[in-house]
Amino acid sequence: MSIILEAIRQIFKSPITLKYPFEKTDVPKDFRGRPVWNMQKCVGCGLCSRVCPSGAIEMIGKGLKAEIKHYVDRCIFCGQCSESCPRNAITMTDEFEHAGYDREKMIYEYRRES
Amino acid sequence: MKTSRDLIAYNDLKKMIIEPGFCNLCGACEAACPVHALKIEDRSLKYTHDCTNFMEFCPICYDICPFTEALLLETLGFVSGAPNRTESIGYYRKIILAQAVDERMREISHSGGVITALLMHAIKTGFIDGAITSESEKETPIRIKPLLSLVPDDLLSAVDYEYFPSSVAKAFGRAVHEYGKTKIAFVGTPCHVRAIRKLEAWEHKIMNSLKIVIGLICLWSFSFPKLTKYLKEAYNIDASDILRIDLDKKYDVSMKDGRIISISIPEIEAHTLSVCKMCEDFTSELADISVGGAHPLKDWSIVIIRTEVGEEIFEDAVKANVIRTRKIEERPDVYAHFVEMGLLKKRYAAEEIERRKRCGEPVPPVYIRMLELLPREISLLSSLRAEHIMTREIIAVRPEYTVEDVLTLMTKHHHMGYPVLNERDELVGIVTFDDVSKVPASKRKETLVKDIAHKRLVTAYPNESAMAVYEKMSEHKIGRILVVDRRNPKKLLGIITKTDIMHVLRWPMRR
Amino acid sequence: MAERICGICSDAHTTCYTQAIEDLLGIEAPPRAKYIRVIIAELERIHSHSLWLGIAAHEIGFDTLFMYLWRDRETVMDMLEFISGNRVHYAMNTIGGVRRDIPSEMTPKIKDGLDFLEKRIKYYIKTISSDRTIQKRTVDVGILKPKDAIELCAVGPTLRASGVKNDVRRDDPYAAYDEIPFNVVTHDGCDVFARIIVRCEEMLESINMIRYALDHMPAGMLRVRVPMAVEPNEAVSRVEAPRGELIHYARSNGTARPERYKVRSPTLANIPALCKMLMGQHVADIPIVLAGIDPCFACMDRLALIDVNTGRKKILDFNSLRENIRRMRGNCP
Repeated sequence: MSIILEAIRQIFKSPITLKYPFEKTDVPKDFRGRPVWNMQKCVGCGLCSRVCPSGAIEMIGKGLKAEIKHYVDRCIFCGQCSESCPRNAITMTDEFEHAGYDREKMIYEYRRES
Repeated sequence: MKTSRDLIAYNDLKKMIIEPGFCNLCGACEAACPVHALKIEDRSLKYTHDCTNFMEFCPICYDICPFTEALLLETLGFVSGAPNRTESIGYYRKIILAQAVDERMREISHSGGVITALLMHAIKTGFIDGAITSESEKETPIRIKPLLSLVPDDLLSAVDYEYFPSSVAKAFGRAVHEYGKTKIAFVGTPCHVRAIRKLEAWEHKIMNSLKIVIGLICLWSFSFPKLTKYLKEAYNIDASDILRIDLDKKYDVSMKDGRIISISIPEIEAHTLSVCKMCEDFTSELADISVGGAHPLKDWSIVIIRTEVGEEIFEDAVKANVIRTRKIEERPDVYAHFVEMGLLKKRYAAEEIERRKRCGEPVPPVYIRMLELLPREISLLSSLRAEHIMTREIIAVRPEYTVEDVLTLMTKHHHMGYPVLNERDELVGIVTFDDVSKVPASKRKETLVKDIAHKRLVTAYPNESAMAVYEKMSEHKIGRILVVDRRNPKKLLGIITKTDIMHVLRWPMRR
Repeated sequence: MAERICGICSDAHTTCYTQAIEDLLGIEAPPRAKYIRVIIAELERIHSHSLWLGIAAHEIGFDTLFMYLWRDRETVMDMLEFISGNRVHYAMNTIGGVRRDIPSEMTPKIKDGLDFLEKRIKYYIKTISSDRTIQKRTVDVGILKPKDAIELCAVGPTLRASGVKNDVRRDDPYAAYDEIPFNVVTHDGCDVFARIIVRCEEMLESINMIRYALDHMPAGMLRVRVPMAVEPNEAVSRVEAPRGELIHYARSNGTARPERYKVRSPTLANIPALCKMLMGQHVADIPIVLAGIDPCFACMDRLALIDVNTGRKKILDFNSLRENIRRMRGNCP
């Protein structure tokens, strides 16, 4: 019956849960959120699209003219692309709220500004 | 040049570097290749699988090879913030003499133990968490392999010379990829330093973990099979018996049984790597700090600090009393020797490149580009004449002076040699510190200058080029030369010392 | 991708996968990486078991315990997040080693968390063994005799709760388990209560293992760089996932992608044992008996039909499967 004592004790404590959409915890240091491409650094080698386990990255064209299409709906946030990129052009951001109603809106495109 | 390049850089790398035999196995390409297609194994570079299976376009391995022309200007950007520049030393903030305070380190290293002390201190204070150096192989001590040190004591087995190729850039890649280190110090020869700087200029990811680059002073690296074969034939020594090789004006090969064999530079030159003969970087001009032996001083190193990071780590070590320093001005002879070696390497390189171009042999693209990029000071020396740089206010001695008088003069003026003029102001000889010091202290009062002075003199004429003067001095191994009138060789016009020539070499930046 | 097979035991799957591929390549992860793998695997075991314990409490209607357990489970989740950056899907393993280090600065914080967890788990064991509600709902419920358990190929805590000493970590040591001392927890109760106690004590065992691993972690490499392509070969690797023995099979054909890949998750192995367990039980006890094997239907719920002639692929999910069964049986509700 000791759990009942424990339960009574808890009544006087504040709740441990966070009121999520209003209160957010900080993400940890190496959190893997949505990957973002820095096209000024991208050399267009195509390695990220090649290593992506879920096929969420598409590269159109090659070399410095390459464009990247990132399908967030397919992304599993494993961080392999950012690890494979030889030039740190891909960074995993802190963004974690990707839920939405429309898959078409979950495509991010990146293009090198000349 | 970039436009005509292949989409996959390896094809170019193979054509320009690997096939002509310019690869020195630094392993930068292995560290950089995103698909691990290149691998250094058993002292050769292997292409393990076709990288086009994985990539559409990739410029990496060609761009970062230390012997290609790409990114050269960018690499200079890392050091060009320094206030001074000379041709023989490159950009620098300051040059000092230094040695490790710990006697143990001085013993292990053969020139002051500065790098060991510096890195050990840096690891202890947490400035770095790993250091890449080289260590001797057990069976053949002169053959070296990369060493990754994570705790200070590991560094004691590191060596501070690299006479044979060592894949340190590859080791750097491993430190990042396999050990997950984030603050790494890198120690390597000029070409390794260039590889690392190129990777940095390329903004390769692994370079986020680079903290500091320490360059070694390097004349040439040898081809291991060639040199050992030669030593076997000419001196009948086995490679495994050699303990180490020291370089001052010649190569001293120390054996395990204590013998030392001296080999002159021209004799050994044929057995160096072909790229090294064309290399003109003596002092690791792109490093944060360059360190090398301060010949003829034993137990001291010459330290060239080029960047702010370098200065920070060095000052920190000095403050913590692990390194003690001396001013380079205290020993102009050390500096002169150093500059001379630097210029010697550059001259050899220029000649070799010229010869190769004439014979239609391939030259690594980096050296061709380097010639276009860097301001030339050899040409500056050639454009000046002796009369421009000579000192006209001469302190001379009379033949009747005693040795003691000369010594008094020396302590007063700090010059190490004085021309001897007779009562008609005719030049009759020169007396130097070496001559004076041969006279025992008891006889200093009675010995006269005319008894010890050199009568045969090396002289120059006022309209000779500074370069010719400099070469004369190198040829006769003297520190000062007297400038005399062409029509009357007895009439002394001025004196040129090595210090004067060094002042000239600093001119471009002063203006 | 192997990490996405399961959200609870993601690390067990990656460990198993990387081991299979390392086997194919003929390389071995460096010692430090092995220790890190053990630490993550054991943290994951604690988190998985406490999650399960909460579920079990929920299934018998004891939601108070469920809430407390899940609150304390946050400690281990925070620890995993602290080490790897994410709460689940740690992405710590990579072929040839681990991606991130556990530097010595992290050790005190992890140990504090472990101390707290140890206190709480001991308290829960006391509560569970003394609480009448739990006793009544679990003792002598879902009996699985050792003989049946072996015959029906039960694995993991389900098997060990029937008194069979079987653990891949001990029988076929992988990672650094051969260097870390630990006991294989068994219980002779053969019922759901035994399964609860086995899991609780395994958590305590895990805490000790993590402490040992943190203290004895060798310095050195984290990973070895591996070639991209794999020579034709095949490999099987076994891992003791929180739920039991996990098997991965891989066959390579000389390219960068596997030719064939097969996963046998522990739940699949435990399902047949349910037949014996459920025999002669009250209907109201079915949830807790079912929960007793710690089922992970995500690990089971997949069936791909490939028409060999046309090459057409059809994956049946839960709904279509139910429809198919309905069609076959006629008019089942």
